[in-house]
Amino acid sequence: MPKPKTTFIFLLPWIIILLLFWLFPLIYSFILSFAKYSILTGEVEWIGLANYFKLLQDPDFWIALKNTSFFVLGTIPFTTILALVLAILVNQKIPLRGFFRAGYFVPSITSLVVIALVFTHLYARDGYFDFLFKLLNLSSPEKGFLFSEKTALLSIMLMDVWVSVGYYMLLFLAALQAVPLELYEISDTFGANFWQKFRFVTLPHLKPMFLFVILINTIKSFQIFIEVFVMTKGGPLNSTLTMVYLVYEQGLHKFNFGYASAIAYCLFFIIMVFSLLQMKAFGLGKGIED
Amino acid sequence: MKKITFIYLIFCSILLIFSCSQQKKNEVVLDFWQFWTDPQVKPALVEIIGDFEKENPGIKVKLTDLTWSEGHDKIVVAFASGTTPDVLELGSDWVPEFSSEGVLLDVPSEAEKIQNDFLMWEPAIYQGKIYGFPWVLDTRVLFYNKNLMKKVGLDPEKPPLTWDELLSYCKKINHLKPQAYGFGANSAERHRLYKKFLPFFWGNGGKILSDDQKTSEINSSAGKEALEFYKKLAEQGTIDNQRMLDEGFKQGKIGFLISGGWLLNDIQKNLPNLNLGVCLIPKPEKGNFSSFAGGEFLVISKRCKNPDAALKFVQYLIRKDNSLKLCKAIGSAIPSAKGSELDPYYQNNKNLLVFQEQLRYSQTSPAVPQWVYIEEIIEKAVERVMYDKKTPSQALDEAKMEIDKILK
Repeated sequence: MPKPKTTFIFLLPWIIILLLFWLFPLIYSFILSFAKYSILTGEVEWIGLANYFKLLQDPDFWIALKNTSFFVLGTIPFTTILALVLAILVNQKIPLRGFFRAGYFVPSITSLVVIALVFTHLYARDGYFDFLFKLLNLSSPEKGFLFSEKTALLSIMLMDVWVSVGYYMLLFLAALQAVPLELYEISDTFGANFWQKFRFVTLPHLKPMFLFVILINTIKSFQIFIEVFVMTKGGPLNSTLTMVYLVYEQGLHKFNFGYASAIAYCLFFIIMVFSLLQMKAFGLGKGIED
Repeated sequence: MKKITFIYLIFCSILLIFSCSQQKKNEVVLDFWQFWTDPQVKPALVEIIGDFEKENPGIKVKLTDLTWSEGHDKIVVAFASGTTPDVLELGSDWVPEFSSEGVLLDVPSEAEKIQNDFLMWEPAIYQGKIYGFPWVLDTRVLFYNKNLMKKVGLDPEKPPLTWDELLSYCKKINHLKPQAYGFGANSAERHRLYKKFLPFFWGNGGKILSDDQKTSEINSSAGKEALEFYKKLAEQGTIDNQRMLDEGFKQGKIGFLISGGWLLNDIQKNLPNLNLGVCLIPKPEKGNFSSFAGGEFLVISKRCKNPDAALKFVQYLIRKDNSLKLCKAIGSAIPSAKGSELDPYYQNNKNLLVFQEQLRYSQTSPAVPQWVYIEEIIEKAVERVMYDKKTPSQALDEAKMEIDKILK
């Protein structure tokens, strides 16, 4: 057993980073959310809850909240189900299995900025998606996918599903491989078909992973920013304005750090509520037995 | 053994600290943050600074490079944390933001002496005081593709002069779509769109703010007319963000595009075969030429410990011969020093002369600290009209009300 002191020394670098770059900003921004803070001069004026009241009356905030919620609720079911399907597929003994596994995972380790830039071209007025739509005799938006208010957010969502599905596939794959093989063998002796095996053996074992995937994905999706920053800058007509983009605009363009912090804390609160609800719905802490 | 290693490490780190802080006494070091990182441009700047250091022994300049994508954020953070450089380069539309916060050094007496020798002081003036020096200027002109004009039976040597001509030319070229589009209109990409709309707005006699900068006059009939025209123009072309528009123009797919010096550089350097024409942004029948001008300004931080040395350095940088040297390396930029257009470099390049001429008709955004908000309101108004949500009259009436509220 190492001495507690030694343990502490080894943990110190991480603790310092945690305090300096994570805990301190977290608390500081919470304090700032009750102030009017001029970042250039460092003047602080305490205004109580005014930032939060302002928030409730800010139409931009509600638009951002609506768009972000739509993004979260719209992408997570697709990402989760698609990830599960892919995980089951690449878990089979199919030819080129390694190639597919790696292929689906590659977007997760590619720079999101690069992906967003490439997709900007794909979504352009004469881009690949436009061509595809014409080939299928569908009408593509006249201004291009990213510049029509009806399709801009959907386009980003589609891209996001494509980007993130590989990572969750990997998580599901790990969970699938952890299911004891004996259970399948027993099911076989009882004459269970593929669906029955999936429903009564695989799915219960995947439950903790389901919770983890949905939880992580919810938190990540609520924070969507890079895609919007690179592709649309919140436009057209605020149709892709998201919460974090609003924080960025308010903080770094208008210098309203107090207000930006208030928005950020609002987002934090929303994510917390969502996470708690999800944990409750899945019954956190309960095993697979029940 | 452990102890020896430990002592050795401490010794090394002490050595490191001392070697870093070793500095000659009486030597002034100026920290200078700037944006010229292009491998073609930076050597010219380094050379100019080298000459300055030779002329002024005892002053050393430390260069720090910033990028356009994150420079603004870095500067804000630097001011917030008190680690500001002595001298820094700011885009013209950023200057009011900082000058109004009182973090820049005001230099009235020094600037007055040389004021008449340089163009474009307006962005640096806040409440009657001068907070910066214009350095390198740029403006937006109309780029056109001569091949596309020929293709639709237009004389490529006669670019459009008036709004009506521009619109009808765009219409003709737009018939070629999807091979080519008439006008390259900016999408509602923030901090870009207003620069493309304002040339038409100003040219028609529109004014964003009243003379005392207390209220907005954006909803004048001249302004509404200009917005109506911009909408018509956007319909005769494609809507995209600036990067994609520049790309489209380089591929020969856009007939007319309002863009800046960066595109001219790019084309002259990389696509000499593109049949490019450059002209003044067309004016309305009964109006004037106009455009949006921007530029690089040099400002001195209030925290600067050696303001005299900093002033000397700034004035050296903006001197005609030095800024000319820098502008030649940049390619398309124009020195703020008056009379620089007479330099053979500009006289021998037809396209650059157009930039010089356009600059004479150009305006900058009003130097009010609330500009970031006003800019957004204008962009929203233009966007709503382009997407058929509002008529120009409705959109600008609303914009006026919103701007008035912010100016209060």
